[in-house]
Amino acid sequence: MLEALAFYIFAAVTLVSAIGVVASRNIVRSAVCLLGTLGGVACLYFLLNANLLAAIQLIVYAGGTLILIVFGVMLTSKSPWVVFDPTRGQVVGAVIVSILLATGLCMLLVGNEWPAGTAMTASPHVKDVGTMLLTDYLVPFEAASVLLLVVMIGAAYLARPEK
Amino acid sequence: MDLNNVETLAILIPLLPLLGAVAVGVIGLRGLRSNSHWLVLIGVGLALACAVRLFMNINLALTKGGSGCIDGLAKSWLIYGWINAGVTWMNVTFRIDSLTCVMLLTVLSVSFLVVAYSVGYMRDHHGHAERGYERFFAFLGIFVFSMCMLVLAGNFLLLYLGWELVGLSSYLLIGFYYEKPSAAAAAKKAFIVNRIGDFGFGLGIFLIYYTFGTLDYKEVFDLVAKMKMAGGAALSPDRVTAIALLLFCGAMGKSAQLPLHVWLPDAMEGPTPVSALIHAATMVTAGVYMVVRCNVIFSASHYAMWIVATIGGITSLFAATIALTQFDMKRILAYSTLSQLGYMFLGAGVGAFDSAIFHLFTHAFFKALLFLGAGSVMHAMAGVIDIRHFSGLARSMKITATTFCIGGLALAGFPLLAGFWSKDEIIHAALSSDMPWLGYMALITAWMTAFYTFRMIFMAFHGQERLPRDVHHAHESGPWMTAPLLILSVGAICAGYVGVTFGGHGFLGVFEPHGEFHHFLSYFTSGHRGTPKHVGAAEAGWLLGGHRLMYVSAAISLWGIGTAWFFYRRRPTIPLAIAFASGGLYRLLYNKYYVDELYDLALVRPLRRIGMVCYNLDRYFINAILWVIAAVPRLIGIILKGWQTGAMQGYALAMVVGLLVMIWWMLVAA
Amino acid sequence: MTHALLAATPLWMPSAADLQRLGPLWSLAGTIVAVLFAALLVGRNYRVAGAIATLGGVFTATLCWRGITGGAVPFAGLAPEAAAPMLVVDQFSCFFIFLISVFLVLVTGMWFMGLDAGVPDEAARRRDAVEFFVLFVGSAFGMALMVSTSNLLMIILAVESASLPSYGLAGFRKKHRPAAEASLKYILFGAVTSAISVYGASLLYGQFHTLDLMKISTAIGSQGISVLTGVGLFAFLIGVAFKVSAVPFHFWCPDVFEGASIEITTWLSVASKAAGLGLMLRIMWLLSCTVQSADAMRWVAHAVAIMAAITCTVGNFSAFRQTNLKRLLAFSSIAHAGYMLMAVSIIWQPRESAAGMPHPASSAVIAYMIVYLLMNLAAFGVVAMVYWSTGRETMDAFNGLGWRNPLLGVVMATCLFSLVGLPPLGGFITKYYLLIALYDASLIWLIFVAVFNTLLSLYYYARIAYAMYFVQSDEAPVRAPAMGQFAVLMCAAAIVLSGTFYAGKLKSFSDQRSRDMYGAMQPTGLRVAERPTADSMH
Repeated sequence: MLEALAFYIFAAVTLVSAIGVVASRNIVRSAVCLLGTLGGVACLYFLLNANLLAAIQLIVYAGGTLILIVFGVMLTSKSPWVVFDPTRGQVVGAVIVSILLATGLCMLLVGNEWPAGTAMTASPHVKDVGTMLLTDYLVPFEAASVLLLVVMIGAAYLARPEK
Repeated sequence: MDLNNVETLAILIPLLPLLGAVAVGVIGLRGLRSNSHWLVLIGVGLALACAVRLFMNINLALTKGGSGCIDGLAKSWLIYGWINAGVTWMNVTFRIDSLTCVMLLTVLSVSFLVVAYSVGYMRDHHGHAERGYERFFAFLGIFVFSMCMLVLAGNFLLLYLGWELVGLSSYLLIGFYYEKPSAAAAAKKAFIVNRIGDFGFGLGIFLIYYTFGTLDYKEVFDLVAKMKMAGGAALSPDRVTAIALLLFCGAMGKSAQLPLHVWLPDAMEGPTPVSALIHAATMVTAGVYMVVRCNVIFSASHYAMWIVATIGGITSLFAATIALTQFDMKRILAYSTLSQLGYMFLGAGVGAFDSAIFHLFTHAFFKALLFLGAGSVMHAMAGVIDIRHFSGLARSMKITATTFCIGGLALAGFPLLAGFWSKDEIIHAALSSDMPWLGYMALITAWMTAFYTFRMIFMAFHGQERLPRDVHHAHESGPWMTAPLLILSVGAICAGYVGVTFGGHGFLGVFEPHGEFHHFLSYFTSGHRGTPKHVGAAEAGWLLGGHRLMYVSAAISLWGIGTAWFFYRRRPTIPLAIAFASGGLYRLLYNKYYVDELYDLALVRPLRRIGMVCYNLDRYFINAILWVIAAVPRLIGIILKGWQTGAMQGYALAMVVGLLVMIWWMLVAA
Repeated sequence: MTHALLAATPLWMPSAADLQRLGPLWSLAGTIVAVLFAALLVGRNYRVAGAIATLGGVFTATLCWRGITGGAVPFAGLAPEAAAPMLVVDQFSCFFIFLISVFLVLVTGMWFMGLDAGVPDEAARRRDAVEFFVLFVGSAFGMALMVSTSNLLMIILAVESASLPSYGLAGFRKKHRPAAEASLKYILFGAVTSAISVYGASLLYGQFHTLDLMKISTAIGSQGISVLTGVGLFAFLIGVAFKVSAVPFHFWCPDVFEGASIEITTWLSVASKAAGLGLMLRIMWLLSCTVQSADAMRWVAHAVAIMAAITCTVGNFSAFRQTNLKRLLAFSSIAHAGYMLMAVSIIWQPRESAAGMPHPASSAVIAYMIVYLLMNLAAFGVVAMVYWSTGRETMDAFNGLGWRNPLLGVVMATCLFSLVGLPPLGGFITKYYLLIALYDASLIWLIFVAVFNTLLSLYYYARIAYAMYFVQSDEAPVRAPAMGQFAVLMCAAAIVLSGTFYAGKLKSFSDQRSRDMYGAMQPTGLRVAERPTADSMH
């Protein structure tokens, strides 16, 4: 019961701040709202006993990505005062499409019978996750590391000032 | 690569000239320039070597096997199937038999000599290459390739392809001096007149496919032979006649037979080596080749044979009469070509297919020789070719004069030279056929041939030396040009002996007609010809017995030459008097029976008027419709371009809509 | 502590033979590292970097060719579950990696030629060669991964590995505004589509509790396809559709093609598409490899067919008004992706004929791909050489090209007519195979769409040919590097040959390749890497 209540609260926070991200006309406000979304999702992970995942979500997204976005906003001059001003047509179109999409997805998700999964009663140990990464999921892990290497080089190149 | 292998050789033969031509086309303009001829010369030379090798192989098979059955000696195989999806008639198949060998040898040896000759001809007196030198050689290479494809083809579709390709190269080469309006017009005329013939040819091929369901030579011919055996119901005679006549339409265009002959004299606008190669020795004989190749079809229809023989005979006489009055050396030769082609068709039409090919073979040598000689004169006379403007060239241009004279003798049917043997055979065959009047006509033509040939020789080479105004002194051409002349004159003397047997009680006690040549061709023709009508046909009477015809035609030839000598050497006033006296007839001949004018009045002008109507219709009506049709995609293009604005929001919207459609599609579909 | 951990864990090491089978992937990953280390050792030397990339490409291609022809045992393993491999390196993937690495070598050559021809930002290019080649080989590695896996997680990772370096490559000319813009757009689209793709994957996982496509396929076969499965599949496929630039996920394509430098455009137009289609083929085939699942796939396949038709049509219509050649070829590549997707959409159809016989559609796609690679390489090569000589990529730079550089003119004309699909060029033959496959699948409406589109495309391709031969231009002759001319000439010759003499050979080769795909992916045909259990370790 308490869990259900917590779920609805966190889900509502996530949803409302997601709408806030989109609806806000000021980019800084959007960024702050994003914090709410990401944090809300992290809390949902906690509720699912996925502690490690929740921690990663907080550290990487809320701690890393979001800060990066705010820095980006601050460092590019004028940005904090940029105000999005969509035309009426754009707003109407976006709303219609979003509603249709949301309806469709909801119909799908609700109308479908989901196979029963095995509920996790206790949070898996970090060690288990690590073992999995280096055994069963070794290939994706290595592939991701190659990807990160390449992307790092690329990012460094793009960020490097031109002489 | 096994050079003994017939198949390898047959692929190499067209490929080598093509490679030469392509190489010249690619690097000629930049790298080679005035050395462009080497590539084509080498290509054609190697192809000639391959053809000789091929001939030796086939000949060996003939002497060994000797049975003379078609399947033993004809080799027909698939070079490659284009689409392996059951479309067999599109396959490229080659066919090698004795006819192919003879044609290849003729075409390639003359081509090789003409290419060599062109090296000298396509330069000015200082040895600088003419403009478009490399283009010329590239075109020559393409022509040789196309001609080889035509001859090697193993089915009608490939034959048609080669047929069109030689037409194209002929068009390109006639219009080689495309800046000259007359050359461009002549090229166009040749192309259009050939189209008329090819239209019929194409229809003929369609009809063959429709009737027999295949385009392969062997299958078609076997089917015709089988159906003929089976008799009436299996194959309607009308159908065969229609096929044969439609095919003959193509031959009439390509080989310039009446009434589609008008393009050939104009084609002389091209460079002289081209006239020698394409418009005398090889391409124009493609029609004869085709008729002989399809002898099974033709001889299955008595009516078609009659038409072929008649058209041949009439063209022969008709062209000879025109040649009597012309003054342009190349045009005289062009009409004589028409006339000789007429002989060939006459021979084929009376069933003497081997004689037709024999004449084709000898004619290639002496007619190429004559044209090249005329070219040598033209080169020395700075482009003047009208025999009224010069004379007495024999003194300064000894080699040209001598070789030209040899060629002339061969053409005139002078005894023991190449033309004599082959022409006599055809006349013999015509006289012994059921249309002897064609034979008598051919005899008259023979007299005219001798006359006009020597009229030209006496006017150009004998008498006082007289030169055109711009030429200060005539001089012999260089070795590149004289060497082919000499070689060809050997051919003009000797080529006939391959078709003669020695011994017995023949002509002059030594020569008996029908030699190795006929033996080599025999399996090809005798299998389908009815009873050979050459010897001992009683109804044709006195002329045919005991080689009398040979003596008669020798006498006629000498008589023609003598008359020319008398008219143009002894009494030069007589021709003028005759021309004056005959008035209208002379003008009629001089203006080539006004055929061009007639065509202009009866066909060209009305067509042009219809064309004008169509043009306006097209311009104001069809174009408007087309514009409307084209406007729709253009409009959509504009709209879509507007869509691709570069604004991200729009793109994103479109993507989400795409996703949306997919989701709803699934919802609705399920 | 460490000892205890090791003892408790089933340690697993692939055998040497398995590692060998993964050669092509190792080789590409090793090339990346080698380029970096070489930079450490010898400094920023563009020659060394390029040479290593070339060597790596050649080496990979050799390995793959051995894999294709040597009849190597397909590798499938390194997996959490025995029957659900993470990597599948079989002859089919070897073939695609072969194409990709050959193309890698060719584009590297093009890059060097651009340097010699004096592109404007030459100095910067030399300086940044190391980064360039790392990104370049990195994207090749991602594409190689794309065609050698059948696991949802790996597919997503592979698509990302192919895309992320490509974003960098598209914006590699930092000073060039359109390049930066193109790169940004590319990133945004890529991010959105991969988000959708991951969402789709999560829907699938939620339903089937597995990431393996084969298992998903079996499950679909046994329980039928639900709406949610369908949507999950669609959403997942959007990631791939983005790579092959299918409408409406194609918007990045023209902007990126126009903004990126020409080598990158060439690379993206071919390699990215080849990898995407290889993946698409594998997914569609795996999902319909049992009779029941094939039947269930009908609706998904139908949607793919409609998407293919729209892609083709929109691509061709949009190309109509373009004057920038790179942009025009971008739309043309969209249209061609549409043709190939048409064939992909009929892979699901069950075949009555004997097992092991390839589906005509899959071999049609492969044949089309080979010829498409040649056509695009040559066409972009010509555009590049014209650009190096004139500094322009617009239609007017092509005016009178047939006379300003006859060789380039002939090559370009060959490519254009082959792109239209005129006989006797390769483009015709492959389109013919494709139409035959569609006819066999009795998708007559799709044939009409394809033919209609061919007619449309004639218009804009012929416009270039017209400019090259019938528009007078008194500009200077186009000077082009001899090697480049030779390369495009070879491509043109190959196009002609593949349409004539080697048409049959092309067909049998692609039949063989698609037979590889079928043979390797049969559930029983998989060779699963042995994985010792914890017990056997002791």
